[in-house]
Amino acid sequence: MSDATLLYLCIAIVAAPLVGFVLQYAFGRRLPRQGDWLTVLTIGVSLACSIVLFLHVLGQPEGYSTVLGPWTWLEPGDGAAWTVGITLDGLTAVMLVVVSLVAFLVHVFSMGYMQGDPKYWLFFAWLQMFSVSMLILVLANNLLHLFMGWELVGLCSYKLIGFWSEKRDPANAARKAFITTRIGDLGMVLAIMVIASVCGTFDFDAIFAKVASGEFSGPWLTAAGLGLFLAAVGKSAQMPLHVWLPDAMEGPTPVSALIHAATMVAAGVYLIGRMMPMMTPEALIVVAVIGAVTALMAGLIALCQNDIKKVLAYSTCSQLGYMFLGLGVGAWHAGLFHLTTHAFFKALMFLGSGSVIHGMHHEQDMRHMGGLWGKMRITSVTFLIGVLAIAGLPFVTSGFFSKDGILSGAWNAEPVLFWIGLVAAVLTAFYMMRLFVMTFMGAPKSEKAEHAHESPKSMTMPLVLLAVLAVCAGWGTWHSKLLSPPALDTVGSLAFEHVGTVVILASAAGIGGLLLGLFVFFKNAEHVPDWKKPFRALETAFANKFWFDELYRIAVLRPSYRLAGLFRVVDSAGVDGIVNAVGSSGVDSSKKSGWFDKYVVDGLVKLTGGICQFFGAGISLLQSGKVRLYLSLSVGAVALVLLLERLL
Amino acid sequence: MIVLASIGLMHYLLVGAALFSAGVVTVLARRNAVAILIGIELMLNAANVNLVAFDRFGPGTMDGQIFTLFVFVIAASEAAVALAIIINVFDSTDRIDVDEIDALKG
Amino acid sequence: MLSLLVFLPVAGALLCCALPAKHARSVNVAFSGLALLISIAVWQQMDLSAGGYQLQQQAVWIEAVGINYHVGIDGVGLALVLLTTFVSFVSAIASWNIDKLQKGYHMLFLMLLTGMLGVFVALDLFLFYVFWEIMLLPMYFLIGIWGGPRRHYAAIKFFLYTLFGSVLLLAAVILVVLKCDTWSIPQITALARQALEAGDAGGILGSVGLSLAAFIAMFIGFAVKIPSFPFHTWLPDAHVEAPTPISMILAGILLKMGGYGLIRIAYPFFPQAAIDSGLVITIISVIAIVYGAFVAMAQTDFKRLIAYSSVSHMGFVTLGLAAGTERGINGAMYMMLAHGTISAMLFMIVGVIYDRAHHRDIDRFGGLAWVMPKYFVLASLAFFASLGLPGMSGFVAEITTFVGAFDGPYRSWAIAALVGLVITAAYYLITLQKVYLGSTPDAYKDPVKYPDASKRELAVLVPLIAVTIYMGIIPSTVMDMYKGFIQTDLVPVLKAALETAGKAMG
Repeated sequence: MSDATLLYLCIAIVAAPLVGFVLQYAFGRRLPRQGDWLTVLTIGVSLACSIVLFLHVLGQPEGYSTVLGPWTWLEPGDGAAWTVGITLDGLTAVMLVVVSLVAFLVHVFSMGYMQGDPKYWLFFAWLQMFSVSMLILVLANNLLHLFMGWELVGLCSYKLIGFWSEKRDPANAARKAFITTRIGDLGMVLAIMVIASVCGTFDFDAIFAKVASGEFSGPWLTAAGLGLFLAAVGKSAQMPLHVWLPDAMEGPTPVSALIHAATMVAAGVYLIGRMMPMMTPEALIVVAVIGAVTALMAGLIALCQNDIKKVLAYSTCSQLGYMFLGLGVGAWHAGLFHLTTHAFFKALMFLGSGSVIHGMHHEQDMRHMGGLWGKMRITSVTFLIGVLAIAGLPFVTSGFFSKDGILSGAWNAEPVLFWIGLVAAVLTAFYMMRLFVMTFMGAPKSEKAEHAHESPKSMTMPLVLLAVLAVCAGWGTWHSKLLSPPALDTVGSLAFEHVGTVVILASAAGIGGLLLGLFVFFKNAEHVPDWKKPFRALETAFANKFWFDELYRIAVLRPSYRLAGLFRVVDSAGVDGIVNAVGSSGVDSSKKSGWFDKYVVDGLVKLTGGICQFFGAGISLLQSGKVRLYLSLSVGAVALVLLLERLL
Repeated sequence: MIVLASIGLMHYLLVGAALFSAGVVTVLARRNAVAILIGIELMLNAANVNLVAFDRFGPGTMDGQIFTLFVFVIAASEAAVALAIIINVFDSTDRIDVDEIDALKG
Repeated sequence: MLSLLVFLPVAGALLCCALPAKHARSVNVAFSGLALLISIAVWQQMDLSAGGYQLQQQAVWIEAVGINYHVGIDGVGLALVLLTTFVSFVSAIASWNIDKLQKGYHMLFLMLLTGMLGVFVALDLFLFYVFWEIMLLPMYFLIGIWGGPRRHYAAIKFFLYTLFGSVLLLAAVILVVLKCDTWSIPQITALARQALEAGDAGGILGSVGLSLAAFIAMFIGFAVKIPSFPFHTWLPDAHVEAPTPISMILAGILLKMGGYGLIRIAYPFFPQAAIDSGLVITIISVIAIVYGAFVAMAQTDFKRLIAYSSVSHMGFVTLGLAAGTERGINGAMYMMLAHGTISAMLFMIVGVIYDRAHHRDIDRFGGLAWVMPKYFVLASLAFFASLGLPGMSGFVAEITTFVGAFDGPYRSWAIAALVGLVITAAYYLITLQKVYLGSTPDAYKDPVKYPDASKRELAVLVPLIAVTIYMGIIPSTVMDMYKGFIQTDLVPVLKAALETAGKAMG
């Protein structure tokens, strides 16, 4: 394909949903079926173009990469030219398909899930914009361009998490998500500042060239890398900025699926993956450690959640931690491959939970579920496939291949990280089985569960397709071709490999976790399992999510508000006060000078006045008002003057 | 014996002086505002006589005549204004005797 | 052409005088619109690639002391003139429902327009100062007569602050003129450049100390207008009391005069002193950005909040300037233009709701989004524009300024200013939530008392948002307009001064 064709395809990928957004936002309300067909159509166009591009890149030799453009966007001075452009390589191709495919399925799913919502049309409009933002981000060939997509993703997540913002909690959650990720964005801006200052350009290739040539190195390079990672921590909900993600479950479930699988949280991993050549070893250590810690802690928290979506949310945190662990230890390929496979099975599970919630009439508490296996057959089966995939059932599911790659990388780099990862893997399998058993097995535990019904086709078809992908995405070697790592000397091998020991351990972990879960929970499926008694203290810690929210409330939010309040007082009393004090001291001194004024200056003036008045009183007698007197006086005066003249 | 044919400057001046004196007396002696106005007119015309006379016996540049014309115009307008004032005063106070109108007393 | 532009509003004001009061507002809109058209024509007539002052007009004014009537325009002036005419035009539309003493209001409005345009095109210091003061009086009356309950206090405070600044400015101007023996801004700029290139650290005043003193005096004079911390407290009061259109002009244009004065006069006249006081100015800017944002967060009065956000955003202007880099100053200038439209929009947003609810207490609102959907869309666009969302002008300004500031001598301070971004996001989103989201209290459910944005209000807000988005997506149109002066005239001088300063230190 010629460059022009590629360019048109790329533009179509972004432009179709963008047009969809504009039309839907402006006229959606008045369209038949409130315009859902329009948005499905436009995102379908995106998907088709993405697949064409994907196949094109797949047909190219390994390591294929091309840049379309760049076109100058702004020349801000100092000879710098800020551009927009498109990078097309294996990573982009994979991300394009993942994003547009998941977005497409979420659109289709929403046609059923959101049926009857008063703002049905608006929901689709923002779904479109969310896809657009993410696609812009993925296609960008420079950091600034990427950042624009990045921030737009933030906006759309705000709008969608807070979709039901006439209620209090969704509005709070949306705000929290935006502000928390904004804290991470500071790191991004810092990186942008450093890069602009040192490199004068944001083009990935140019930055990497300067890094490779040693022109861009030292602490500032590490700082820029850590800045980028901070941004990724915010967007991808890693510790300690993960707090927004569980709250974001207030949004409609299709949005959660989109956020967790394809768009928002994926952006962070993608960013680090993309910027890998400029991550210094020091920065990578931080990435790996944060990733491992998040994988473990989020897994622990997920153990004790009872809201089906919250379990999935923490599971996402944990899985993203895996990806960062992979990137941090140099398993670049495996980390990004896991991003892809995770997108499929997590989208599957979120949509599956959406289907459950839909069938249960908006009940999300797993303690009230159970026994759905027979009532929601398609949902149950596909969900089970998702559980097996995330647990990493060996040699079949996609999750196994990607997770194993990460663990192998960790094994090679640092055993401690490997063991943490392994524990997290057991935990994952365990809590996922808990979720599955509580939701689908046993007897119904509530009225709603007894009357649950299977969802319509528009909701189950995406589940089936995703289930197929959750299994099959790991087969074949397509990924090692498309995700062939950049050649780097900062970290060791970025290649994908399976270490024998790790394969065995990981398989054991996955299967062991699943069996353990089955054993513990299936037996007790009739009532809420009470296995945690010996670990009461731990349980409290997990259930309270390690008190992160409380910590922030005390350590960050409250001081901020206090500070704001204090500054406000300072501003009106202090700054303004000082200025006003200067003014009032002026008034004061004028009071003192007032005395002088009153008695001396004024006195003199009054004296003058008095004298005038005295004489005036006398002379005013002449002012009789009688015309004839005046005339006589004037004639007399003239006569007098003439007389005097004659005499003298 | 005064020779009629030889009327000179002096004669005109005498007429003028007479008119002026009459005017002054009228102004000072009469209390009626209209009468005072007439007295003023007399004085103005006395001045006119003098101006014409001086011009006739002087350089002959017609300056005096032109001045006189100006004085006529001014006198006319002054009379108009003065009469308007008098009428208004009369309207509001019902009096025309200037001795009784002393609202401007200091 | 320029004189026509500047004095056309005066003609409008006279026409206001002559016609009955009910036509005054039409006259105002017509003449503001005409001014906008003329300013666009000026833009078309200029050859921006050529640089330098164009469309100059010069006439001797007061011969004895060498004062000329001298106007001319370059890219920097043009950008601000366009901003002025544009914001004035929409504010004139926003003034449509002023019902108190219409004749006087619209006359003063047009007089104000003349003063503002004059400042941006004057090339003679005396003329500049005259326009600077001309603008002050209409503003005083517009706040003092048409303002809210505490209008007298606010008007006097505004007047005293700006007068205080003006006096310092005047003192510095007189000092400069006495020394240079000319009132011409281009000539003095050239002299300053010569002095610097000759290695004379004293600059045009021939003495380092004197230059510094004069620069500080000028800086304070302009900083009051910007307004920079700690001279900012007049702004919230003035904004809260001023009627909506006047707030729009105040935030949209008047504040920009301070920045313009710095770029056009203070920095070029005293490059050395400017660079020497760079650190102080940077610190002041960072304080303004962060502190302004914090204070904004604590406000309950919607309009005060916006006013403090102005303080915070205008901090970027001085931050970029103090860095003395091309990107920094371009960003600062862009921030002025972006803030000009965005803040005008924000004040209109407040005005719309104040017209309906007759109060501005954020805590008492709620759920307005469901009552007034169109208005909500515009409001949230304005909010996101102000907190720097890509695709709108604020983003370009912030990024460029940050990059430029980081490039300058005070890196760590630029990083410190980043905190402002988070706080800004926080207070805007909190406000957005409190006012527009959540459930609607019964008091606001009446669609008769709370109709959606009217056609007139849309006519004000939509052009503003359109320009904001245009400036965010295609920023080069605007930036290319003014960057010539900064690239060829301002930054080289500052760079040279920086080197001199470095030598003195080393």
